[in-house]
Amino acid sequence: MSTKEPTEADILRPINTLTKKYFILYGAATLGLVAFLVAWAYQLQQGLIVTGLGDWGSGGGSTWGLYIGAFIWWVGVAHGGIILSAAVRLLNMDRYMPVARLAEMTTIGGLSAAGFYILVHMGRPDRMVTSVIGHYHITVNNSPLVWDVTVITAYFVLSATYLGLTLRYDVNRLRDDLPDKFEPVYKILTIGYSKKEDKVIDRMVWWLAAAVIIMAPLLLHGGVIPWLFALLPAMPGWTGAIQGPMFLSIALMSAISGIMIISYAFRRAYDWDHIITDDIFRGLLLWLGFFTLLFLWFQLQTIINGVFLGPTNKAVAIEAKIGHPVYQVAMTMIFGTLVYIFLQGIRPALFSKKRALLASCIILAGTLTEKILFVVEGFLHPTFDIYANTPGTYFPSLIEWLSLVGTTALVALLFLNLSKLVPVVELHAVEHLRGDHAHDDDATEPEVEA
Amino acid sequence: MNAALTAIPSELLYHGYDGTAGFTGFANEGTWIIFAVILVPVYIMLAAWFLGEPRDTKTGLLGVSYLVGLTTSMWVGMFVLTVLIGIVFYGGPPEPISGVGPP
Repeated sequence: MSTKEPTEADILRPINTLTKKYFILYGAATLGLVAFLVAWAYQLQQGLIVTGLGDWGSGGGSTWGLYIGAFIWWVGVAHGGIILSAAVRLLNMDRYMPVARLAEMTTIGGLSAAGFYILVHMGRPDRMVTSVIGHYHITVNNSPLVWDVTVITAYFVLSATYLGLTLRYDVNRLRDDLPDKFEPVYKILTIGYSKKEDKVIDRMVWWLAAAVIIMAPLLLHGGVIPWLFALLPAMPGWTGAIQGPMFLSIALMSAISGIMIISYAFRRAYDWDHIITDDIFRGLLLWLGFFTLLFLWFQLQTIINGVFLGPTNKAVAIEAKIGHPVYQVAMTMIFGTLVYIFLQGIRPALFSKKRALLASCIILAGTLTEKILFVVEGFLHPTFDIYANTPGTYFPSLIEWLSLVGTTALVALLFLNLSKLVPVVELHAVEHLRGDHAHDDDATEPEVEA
Repeated sequence: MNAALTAIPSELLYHGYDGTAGFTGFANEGTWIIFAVILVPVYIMLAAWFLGEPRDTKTGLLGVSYLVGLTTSMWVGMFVLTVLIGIVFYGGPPEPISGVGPP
């Protein structure tokens, strides 16, 4: 660990500097987003058919594809963010405090991208609000999609509230060093602030974290989202209780990978070696290994349940899955990364931040590939193969690929904008690293004595 | 005769099965799973905000205003966006603002 002492000036650096690289990145992200918006406008004008989706049957293929796969993947990325942050608060995992706010912002970004995908995949997105809200009392009873919309709204609101409440402390303390041009925003962020509230807010945020850590992993990504698939008995590739834990493990893998990439970028851009230390990357990499191991174990359960004397429909779907080159590539990537994480655990000299970054990128690519294939295969191998004589294939169209560029750009823009507005590292983290936080244990819930 | 038959309460002779039982009508399965299971952590959180110590009702209400404000701004924002999409791409705002049915 570096001997440099973290200061307030360190965490204010992103706000008070403006570099050429920042502009280049901003320009590239804007271009990526605009490119997708143009493609989406074309899709809106011509209909979803321009992607080849929306025609299962005479056209063969699949009606759900990259859009739905990427939707699940982004929700997954979003998850770990707030879970990591909540774990810092609830389980005293102070080591990760410096990346907690980056993690919360990853949640906001990931959920925004996921929500956007819902809209993009709709044949008539103009009916999104009037249909869902206007008929909520009917659809909430029979549509897992409406459950999804409800829980994602709740999750987004809880995460944003968490971020909003914790920012009050920082913005108030650092106000004199924040740029005046954003004064109205800071005023709204700290509306009604008084120092007396700190303890109450800390306790409220503790309970917010508790609600999130139960709701997000167990009931959203291990519940409502896998239920979109797991509750459909006609698709043997989807159905089954294993999807809950499976989805959760993928979410945690992709989320940790996402946080590592974003943390790496910020550390590099703002010389934060002494704030986002190597130790954080080592720790995150081990967690990544743990969740990757769980994921591979769930895959094994799924495969064995299908191929060894499984019901015919399930056996067909699973055999098709394991025989698919895309699945083999994805699993090889993920397994290879796990081997590396184990090896660097045995021989720490094998660890480097660049390798951790590479491992994160591979896991993100692997999980996205697996998710898209999972979505498509449900349609390709249904129990009652009514379209057996019109077999189709699915390959994402250019517009769908562009949606990945667009949503990644959207999340990048969110970080680029937020980093100019508020500190992306909590003031508490700096205080903690310096060992001078006055604001400590009594802020959390008192321990319950057994 | 017909009048006499319709006068018999349906509960007496009708088998009582309903093809959509469990799916339609409020409240039903989905209502329970969302509002009585999934959202329970949120209810506990809200209860803790107002009942735990140290507490301050004003700060608690501030938290609630964050929740309500963000939910409202999300859905109102989305509504504005979908009306714009309707006007630009589908010949008018969505139903029921404009006529029901294809444009």
